[in-house]
Amino acid sequence: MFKKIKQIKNEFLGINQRNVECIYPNNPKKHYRLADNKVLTKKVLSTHGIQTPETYGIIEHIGQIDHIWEQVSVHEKLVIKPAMGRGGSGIMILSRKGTDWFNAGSPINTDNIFSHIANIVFGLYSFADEDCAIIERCIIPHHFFSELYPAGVPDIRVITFHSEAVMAMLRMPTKQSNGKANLHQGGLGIGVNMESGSLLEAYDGKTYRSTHPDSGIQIVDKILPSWKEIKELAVRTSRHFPLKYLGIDIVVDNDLGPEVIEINIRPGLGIQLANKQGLKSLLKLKNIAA
Amino acid sequence: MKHSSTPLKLTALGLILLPLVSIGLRYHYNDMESNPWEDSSRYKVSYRFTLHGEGPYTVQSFIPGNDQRQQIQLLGDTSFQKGNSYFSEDNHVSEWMGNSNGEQDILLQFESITKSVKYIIGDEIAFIPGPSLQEPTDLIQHEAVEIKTVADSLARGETRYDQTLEKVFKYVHSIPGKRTSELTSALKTLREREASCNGKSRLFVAICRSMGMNARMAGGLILESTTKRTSHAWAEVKVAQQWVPMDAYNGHFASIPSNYLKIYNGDHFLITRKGKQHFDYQYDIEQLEINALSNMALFNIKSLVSKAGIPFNLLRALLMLPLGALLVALFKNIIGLKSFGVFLPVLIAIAFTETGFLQGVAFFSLVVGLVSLLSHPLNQWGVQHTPKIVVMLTAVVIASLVSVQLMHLLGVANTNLSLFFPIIVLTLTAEKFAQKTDEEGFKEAFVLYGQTLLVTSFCYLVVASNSIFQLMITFPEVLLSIAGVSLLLGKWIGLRVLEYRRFKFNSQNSLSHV
Repeated sequence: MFKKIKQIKNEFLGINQRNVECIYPNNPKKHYRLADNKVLTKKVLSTHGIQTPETYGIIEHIGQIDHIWEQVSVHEKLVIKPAMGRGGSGIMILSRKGTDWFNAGSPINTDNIFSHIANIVFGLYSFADEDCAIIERCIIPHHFFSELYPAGVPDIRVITFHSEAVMAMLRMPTKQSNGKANLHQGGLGIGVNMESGSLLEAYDGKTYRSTHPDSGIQIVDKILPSWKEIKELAVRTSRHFPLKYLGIDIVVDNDLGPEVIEINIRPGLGIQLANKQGLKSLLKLKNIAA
Repeated sequence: MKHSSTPLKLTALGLILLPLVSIGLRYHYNDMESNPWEDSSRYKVSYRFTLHGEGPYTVQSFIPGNDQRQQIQLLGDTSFQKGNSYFSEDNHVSEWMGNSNGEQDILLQFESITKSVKYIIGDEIAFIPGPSLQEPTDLIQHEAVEIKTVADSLARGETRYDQTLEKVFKYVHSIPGKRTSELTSALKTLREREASCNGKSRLFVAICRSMGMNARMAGGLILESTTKRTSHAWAEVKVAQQWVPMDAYNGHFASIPSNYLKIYNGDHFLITRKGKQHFDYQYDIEQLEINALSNMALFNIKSLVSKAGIPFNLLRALLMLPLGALLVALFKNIIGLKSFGVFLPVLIAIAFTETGFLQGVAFFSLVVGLVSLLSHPLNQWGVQHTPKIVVMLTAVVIASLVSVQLMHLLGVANTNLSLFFPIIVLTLTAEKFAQKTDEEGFKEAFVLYGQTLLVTSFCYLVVASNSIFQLMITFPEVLLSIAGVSLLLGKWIGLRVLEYRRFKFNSQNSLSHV
């Protein structure tokens, strides 16, 4: 019993230590906005030529909606998201057939699309006074992922510490998570072998399983596509931000390969559960080196 | 960039130790009258008697005695001021005799320090009904059939002393009180079902005696800074060689508040006299500072209160806020319990001290329930955050007004209760709850509600504690120590208790996995 407590204490990073030793000394508060506002994040990324979904348009005022919509509506698929949204709320995925638009399979008229954009701009999803709506290219997940489970967009969270990739986790949507990939919303957290990119068991918040709960397809030991590029992309991204402890979210597009969708200043600690490994020793090694 | 933590540690240590040094010095250089954490009070009491008219007179009164809960110091130098004193039964009597030549003043003064005491009557003490041990009197007629009937029905089936006493107490307490000092016998109280303090106490004593318990009357003054003519009477029951106070008029079961001054035992009058003169009397009572340890105090809050007239409740809220907030921080950073905001649980706890704990919890749950009911349609309609909060707050205020009205109609709550503060605090809570529901859904919000309630309950224990408040008001420098402890807590990097549970399952697995 006592031994077990000691083991946990030595291995796992808790919130207190994460805040005091990882976040505060490495992520200056004045730069938080580079992560909290996706418009700014994407600006930094594209300045340095880091792959990120192509931005079709940014709407800052309601007056711009008509004009920008005219430009972006030439695309057949697109995503509308709030620049400062949290937990995936306010994201709308649209596809076009002729002149008709569809949202998750059901038809939607442009008035409804406009009012969604207006709500984003009013700050409905960001608990702020105002926000921007980003309209960007819709990612088509690499077939590796759609073969495991067809719905939603899985992403890979990579923890970087002083520009080294320390730990990673594949986040997969499930039926229960309703297309979202976050662990606390019912998604799966799947640990990743940092060397080979092969997948470990999937953690669903309670137990570990070797298959996807909805499709029943084997997960363990499958190897992530473009793992080397993903790792390299994470490291490259972290070099261009003045934030030295990050959770970088990367998706793998079927045509364009790995792309960065967002970065987090306070990455969650559940990644340790997905990998059955504590972050403490990994970060400590880096601490001494730095 | 790595920050050195030495300046922080030194600051924290200084903040923690400095007040301790100050307290030590103040403790050393003051004459301690009693413990600063005890609920006690100090008063100067003057009996002022005036005789108008000529001729011989005799005036007798009682002087309170010293015991575990009260200390008396007589003032005045001349023997006339103190009167001619002797002991009669358990009481200290003072007597003034003489020949008045028109107008005679008598002034007796003393200082008292009185403490509040609560007795716990052991549940192992058996109740065995028996014949009365005392003779009935004109005012305590415990052999009267009516009283015997009530006593018998109350004692039926009872085997425990504490439960029997509680039953008698509840019975007498339920009789409506009358704010007079008119002389009422036990029997008259029973028949009229309305009485003054002395009537209710006599009835209590009579019922106890009728059951075979050893009970007696006690009398004295309720101390408050004023001039008054009314004395107070209560009862005492002997339990395991100890006289235990029972005030069925003001509702103090086996306890006595700190401002009760006991002056005599038995069924007496505070003043008796002989003579044909017109007699006038009053008791001047003045509260004195206690436990201020004012020598060397940089900031004497007690005198601030009496001079600036700051409301006591406000002062309590102010002094307790940092301590309560520290408690919330400990719960969060060491145990891992979350709550709505940092100050909110403390503020809710302070609000509970005004509404009462159970009513407060009910009110709190009502607010949270209301908000969750409303947030569903409001979210469905896509109402924006700020206007949505306004709708919710409006609903909370309406619900508060309705429940205050209901409580008033049902007579559950004191109507002059200050509900302003609780309502403000709970509407703030409603906002936090709504926001949490938006961000993370109902389930998470309800988990947070439960944890907030838990943290609030612990805060309530601290905030409602009179001993801690007495300590804080005497030694406000403790606030610095709270800041010091918080600084250290802010740099503490250990795992939170709940995180051990979170990672427990995993580490077991990793052993087998590797």
